[in-house]
Amino acid sequence: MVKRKISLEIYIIAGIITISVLIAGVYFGLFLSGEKVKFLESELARVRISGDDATLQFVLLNFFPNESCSILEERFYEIQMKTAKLGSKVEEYERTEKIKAPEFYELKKAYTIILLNYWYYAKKLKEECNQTFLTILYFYSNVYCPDCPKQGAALGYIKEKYREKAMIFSLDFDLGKELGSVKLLRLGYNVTIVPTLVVDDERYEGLVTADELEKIFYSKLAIG
Amino acid sequence: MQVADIVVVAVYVFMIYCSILWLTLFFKNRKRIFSEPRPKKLHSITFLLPAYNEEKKISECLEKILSLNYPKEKLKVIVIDDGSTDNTVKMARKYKDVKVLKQKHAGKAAALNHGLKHVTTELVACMDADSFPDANYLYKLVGLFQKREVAAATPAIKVVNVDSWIRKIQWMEYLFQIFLRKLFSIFECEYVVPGPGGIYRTSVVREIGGWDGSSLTEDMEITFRLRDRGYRLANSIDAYTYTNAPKSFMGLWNQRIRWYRGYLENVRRYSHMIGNLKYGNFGFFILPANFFWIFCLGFLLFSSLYNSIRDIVNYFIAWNYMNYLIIPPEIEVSVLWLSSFSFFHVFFLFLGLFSICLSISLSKERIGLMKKFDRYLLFLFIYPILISLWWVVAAFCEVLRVSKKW
Repeated sequence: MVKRKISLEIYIIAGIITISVLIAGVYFGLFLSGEKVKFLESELARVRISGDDATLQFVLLNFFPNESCSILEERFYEIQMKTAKLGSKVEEYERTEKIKAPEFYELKKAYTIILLNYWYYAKKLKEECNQTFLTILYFYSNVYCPDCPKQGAALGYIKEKYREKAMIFSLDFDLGKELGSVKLLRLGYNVTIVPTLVVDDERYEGLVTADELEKIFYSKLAIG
Repeated sequence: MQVADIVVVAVYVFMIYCSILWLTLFFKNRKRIFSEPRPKKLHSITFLLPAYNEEKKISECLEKILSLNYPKEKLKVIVIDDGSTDNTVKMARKYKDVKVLKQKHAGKAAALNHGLKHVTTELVACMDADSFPDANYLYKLVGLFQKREVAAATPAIKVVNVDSWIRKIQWMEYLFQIFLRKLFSIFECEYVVPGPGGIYRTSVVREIGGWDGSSLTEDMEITFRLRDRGYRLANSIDAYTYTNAPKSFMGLWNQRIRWYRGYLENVRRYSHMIGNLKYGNFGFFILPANFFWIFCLGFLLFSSLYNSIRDIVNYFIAWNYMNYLIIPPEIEVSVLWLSSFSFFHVFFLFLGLFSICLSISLSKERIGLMKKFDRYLLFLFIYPILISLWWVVAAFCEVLRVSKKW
């Protein structure tokens, strides 16, 4: 029985090449993750400028009460839509990315702060400029919330149907640990579970379906 | 990062490792690919043709064998009729140089053993009735037997009559196999001498006891047995045999389940060779590696299926909560589209495409992208699903010991 030799050389060469490919692949994955965050950051910068502009307009409201309202209401829905789009990209990154770049969490906090600013402005706009829309603050969680995808879908329906009359702000419940503003809102509105909706200061715990939301819109805005 | 993600990376790394191994082997041996020793002495050879109801194909096969580029006095042909109920025997008897044996229906292995009893030549070749050899095929293979330890030689098989989509997929697969079979031969780890056109040294086949009728795949079983006794195999990359591969989906399905169950059955029978250095690259690498391959294929198949079904179900649930409103999606192409695994997907795809082009060129075929466009698409998209399915089903059947009817 002839003992067959094994081609050790080939195994080793192939092994070295494969390990190089593995390292390159992991590096590329990390690099890509960072690039995605950079992309989100550039989108956030654009949203922030609109936000700063809105802040300034609210200050100027005191000087020019008649002019400011018309200008503000024109641009506000547009700004809110852009922010919401960025928000869904941020949520998608958090949900699907395998290796998250560390810069992402700072980005998320920065985004959330801008988002809450807009929510506050929306409420002020409603008071001072007599607007007919509802502000919806939606608390979700990535930790354990089986109803959240359904709630998101229902809100998507509402946004499509009511357009400028539905200002929706989606907020990660768990950021309460890191951001004082989020913690304040949680305590202030007594939000303890997810999903929870706060529609114009009124709290709705648990899943609110599209039909129930339509009823709320009808009763609060007297529209069908 | 979850466990499933790590498994995905491991699966891709393993598949990439194997591909790089074969390509490295190719590059180191690229000058040897086409070189066969010129036969100093032309051995006498007998063709054994087991046939069961092959009245339509057997004439073409016999004519091609009888017109082979080889001295007529060194060429013998024996047809073993395995109890055919049609005119197979009548068609075979039309050729005066062909000996016809008859037996009650007992299967291919029994037919080959029956024919073996009447073989007086140094070499014996097997041929399926639905296949036929190229005119120069014998010249290319006979020289390989000059080395005493070579007990069997394998040809390069191509699919002929490429009409149905099933045959189109197999056309590409067989070309890829021509390349892989040569590499296996250089690595000394081939595990099957194919039915259509495999050549054996008669004395060795007799010594080890002929073919085994209890096996699902007697051609693979005898190869494992030859390896167990330390014999070598050899291959010629351009000794062509042409086969009429299964035309229908069920025909192909049954063939593959039988082949892959046969492989697993043989591995179980010869399990002492797994991971065993004594059996060279065959025992040490191929046998264990194939287990990993079956796992990889099964994992990729099930995870893709699971993910697709889960995504579809989630989509419908969400749609329900939207009161079935259809919102046209806004598609924005950006860096967010790529995934962390994109590098591995692309790299493996690149290796695959490169290997395909290499196989086509080494099989002396033309790529013909315009004409053969559908063959390549079918092979790239449908074949991976089919091969995973066949292996998974074969593995399940073997493990659950489903009864063998073929």
